[in-house]
Amino acid sequence: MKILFKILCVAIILWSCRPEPLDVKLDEYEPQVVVSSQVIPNYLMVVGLTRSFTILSSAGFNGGGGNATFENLLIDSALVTISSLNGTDTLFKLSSGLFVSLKELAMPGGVYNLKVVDYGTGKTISANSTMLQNVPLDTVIPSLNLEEEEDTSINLMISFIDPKEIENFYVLSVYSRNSNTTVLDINLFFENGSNKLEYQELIEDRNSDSDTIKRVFTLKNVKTSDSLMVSLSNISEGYYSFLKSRERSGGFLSELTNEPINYPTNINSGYGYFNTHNPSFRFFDLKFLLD
Amino acid sequence: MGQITVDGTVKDAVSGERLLFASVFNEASGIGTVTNEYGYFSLTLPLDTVEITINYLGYQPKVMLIHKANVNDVEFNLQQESNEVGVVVINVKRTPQEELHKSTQMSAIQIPVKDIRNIPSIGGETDVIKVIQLMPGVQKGGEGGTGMYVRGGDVDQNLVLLDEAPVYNIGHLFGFFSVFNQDAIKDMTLYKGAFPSKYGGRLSSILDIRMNEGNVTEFHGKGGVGLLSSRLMLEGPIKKDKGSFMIAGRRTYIDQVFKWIGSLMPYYFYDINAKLNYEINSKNHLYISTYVGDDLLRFDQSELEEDALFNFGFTLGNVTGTARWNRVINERLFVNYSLIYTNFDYNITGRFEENSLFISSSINDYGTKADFEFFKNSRHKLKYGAMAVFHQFRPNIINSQGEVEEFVSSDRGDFLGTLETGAYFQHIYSPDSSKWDFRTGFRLSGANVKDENYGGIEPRLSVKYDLDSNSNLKFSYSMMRQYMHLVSSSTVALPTDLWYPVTNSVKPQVSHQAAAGYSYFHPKLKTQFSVETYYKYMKNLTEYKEGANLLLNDDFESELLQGNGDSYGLEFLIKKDLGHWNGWIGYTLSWSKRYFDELNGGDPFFSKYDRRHNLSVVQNLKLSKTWSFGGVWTFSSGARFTPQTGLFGMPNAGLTGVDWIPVYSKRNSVSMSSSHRLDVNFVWKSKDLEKFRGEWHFGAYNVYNRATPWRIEVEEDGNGGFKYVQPGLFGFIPSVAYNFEF
Repeated sequence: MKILFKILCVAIILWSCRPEPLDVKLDEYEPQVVVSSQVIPNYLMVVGLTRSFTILSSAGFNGGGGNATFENLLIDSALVTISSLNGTDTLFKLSSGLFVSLKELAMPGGVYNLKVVDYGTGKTISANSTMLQNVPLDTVIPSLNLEEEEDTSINLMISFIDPKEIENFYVLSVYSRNSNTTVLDINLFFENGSNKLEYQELIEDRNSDSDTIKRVFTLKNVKTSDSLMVSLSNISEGYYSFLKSRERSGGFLSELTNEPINYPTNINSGYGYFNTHNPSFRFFDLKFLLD
Repeated sequence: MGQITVDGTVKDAVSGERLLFASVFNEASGIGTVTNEYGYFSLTLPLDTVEITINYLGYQPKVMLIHKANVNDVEFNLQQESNEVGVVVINVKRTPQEELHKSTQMSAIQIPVKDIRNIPSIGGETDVIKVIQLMPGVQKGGEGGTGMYVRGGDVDQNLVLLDEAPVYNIGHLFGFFSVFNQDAIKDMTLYKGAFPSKYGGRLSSILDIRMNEGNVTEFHGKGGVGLLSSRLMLEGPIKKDKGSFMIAGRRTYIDQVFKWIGSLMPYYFYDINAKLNYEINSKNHLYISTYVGDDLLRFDQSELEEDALFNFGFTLGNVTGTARWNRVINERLFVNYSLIYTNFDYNITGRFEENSLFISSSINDYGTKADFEFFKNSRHKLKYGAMAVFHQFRPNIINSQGEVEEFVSSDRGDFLGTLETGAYFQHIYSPDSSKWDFRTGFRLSGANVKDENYGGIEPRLSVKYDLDSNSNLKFSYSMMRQYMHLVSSSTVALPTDLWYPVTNSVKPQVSHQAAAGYSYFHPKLKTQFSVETYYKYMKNLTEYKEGANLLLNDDFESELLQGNGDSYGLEFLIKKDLGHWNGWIGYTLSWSKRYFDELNGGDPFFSKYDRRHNLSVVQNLKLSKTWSFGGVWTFSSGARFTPQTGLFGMPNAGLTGVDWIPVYSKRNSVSMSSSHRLDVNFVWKSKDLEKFRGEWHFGAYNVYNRATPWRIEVEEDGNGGFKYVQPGLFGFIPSVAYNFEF
């Protein structure tokens, strides 16, 4: 009986078929212009331009790709202009996908209008962004704890004064870099890409009762040969939502289990975010803590 | 003219079981009623009435001569016309469908379980939920699942009652089997609208399922052996003609089947139904019933032949318990008191070396209710009652140890308690010599949660207008309130959907539904044709925020959004309950939309199971004395999906690399391909022995092996490129099963 049942089960499994999947036609995907931007205080504004791509491609099928894929997406040929109270500036191409304005930045409250004509696809996109007031870091105090001979942890106490008259949103970031450079500045810090994001927090001032917003946290596995950069940016609510979406959706497991989301954007007919936040920085070479 | 009131119960003459919704009427005056959920009736007739007739599908009609001295606590015992299983060939005067046609009730389907045993299904085991999914107005979820989407509602808007106890999880094996054992179930009624006032707590449907009571005269059994599971039901008297028991059990042996063929699938489910009933005297009757069922999965180190210490498992199950006391206070007043308990929980355990994780969630209900029926006279019938239930939620308990604690922190979870209360009143008014019948009523419901009270009135109205003796028009309006929500992912099917109560910030769901219909019943063919149209507006529906992460998230509330929805449609049904050839054809044309300010850019979107067309053809055919055939052909428009269409890259936050960000279509903007499928079942009845009857079921699911799409994926097209495809879950699956009775 047992053998009969076993034969029956095997037969049923063999006879059972898996149906052929049905094909489906979806509208052909049209690549869109993707914008990212960064203001370097008293220096320049950088606009990064790439294109999105269909999932019906090798890179799409594999969930993206490496830097080589990214380099293929860089927009090489485009007319990029930014208009503000100071007039219209045509950005020059620093390298493929990277366009730079060296024109003097507008004052806080000034509105920047970005317009891009992508010669590769003929598409035109536009975006507006208001430069918000720079909020300086008030206190940044690192302290060093040597738990073991080779293990280091850094306590950081950071505070800043929140202008209470309007609702503000901030991004607070701490980067480390293994560097023996004697003079630290933002260009050197990100040079050669050996920096690492140690901490990032998105802050809404409505969650704070006090005018002074303070954070105390510990950075693990930071070496005494490292340098630190603390950055604080007063950002728009839209850009805050964009960063919040990225924060919530990061990670392999999240991508599998998260609800679908199309990130918020301020780009008309494109993706990404055109922001003009004006960050404050502090740099530290942690060697001084050993003194 | 004077009146006389006849009251009593209608029973199966052999088993002594009470018959629900049996017809009791006087042909001369046209006055009649049906027995209630406990087989009781009370009928007030003109004093000169000579006889009344009792009918029940599958039983010989019985005519009773009225003797004025003996009209109270009367017991009508009906003889079954045939013992043939599956095919209904009896010619009786009224069927349950005809009773529904003649009543003010619309948007309802009543199905005796013995009438659906020929309907084919996966593995050869009749599944009551799959049968419900074949009715107009009920959309299925994914292929093979037990999810029900009634008139554009969501899956959490169905109240499934088993002997009055809510069942929170109605599916075994991720929903591929329902938790209801066909041998333990007597009868089920689905309300899609025109809700009687006694029901509340969900927006879209009430599925009222009643267990068998057990045979009070003789010991009997019933069961079946299938490829995936076997079942056995035993019933018999505790005290002859006074009380009985029924116990039914079912277990899958998927784990054993896989073991035999040299593979590993350490999963099985089981369920047990049990019921006791005892007639204390002609005016008092007690019922106690329970259901226990679990799904269990356990992988461990020894079975996987792993060196590392590893195990993983889960259990998921329901427990229900109901104690009821029927009391006939006088010949016109009937009352039922109930005590109800329900539990649903799941536990997930995992261990790898020094890391362990335990996740648990549970809901417990403790309830009581009283339902009164007052049969004033042939024109007026009143129903009223009250209920209270305390819901105890533990949405998520997490206990982690080892390095995994860095990623998943331990959390005892919040204890959430909700007291839900309700009171109702319903008046059925049938004016003499009028073409109109009215059912009016209301329900007062409320929920008390921490620092907040919700509640309000829920008006109910049903009106019937007879066009002639065989056709009528009906109209209904129902308002419903729902004080709990099911929190589930729209992207991945997890066994860990959570029931979550209303809170200060999560408001109750509310619906308004209006329906109108035409019904025609052909008296000779015993065939009903009905068409209904409906519009339903739903408020405070819940969805997750875009990008919400649900896995191991202990703050569900902050991820929830509330918005509105509406649905409308047209339903056609042709149903023939009797004869060698019986069955039904149901068709639904429907739309279901959602309106959330924070989803889809604020634009309206279709609900996931907005299927435009649904057609079901269900046929039973008696081929010969020994052979019969059941066939189901279904067609439905594809469910909706939000596929990923593209990607873009942006520098990551550390400016050290690239984050790849997916691009999706608009929410539920893509409709998958339509699906159609044929399932068949041939039944061969072996020769009856004196006390034993058996039958073989030879079935096939998805006869022509066509995919029913459940998602959209990307795969290589074989030419170096890529394409979108829609895979299906199940292809052609043959089955064989053996059912028996003794």
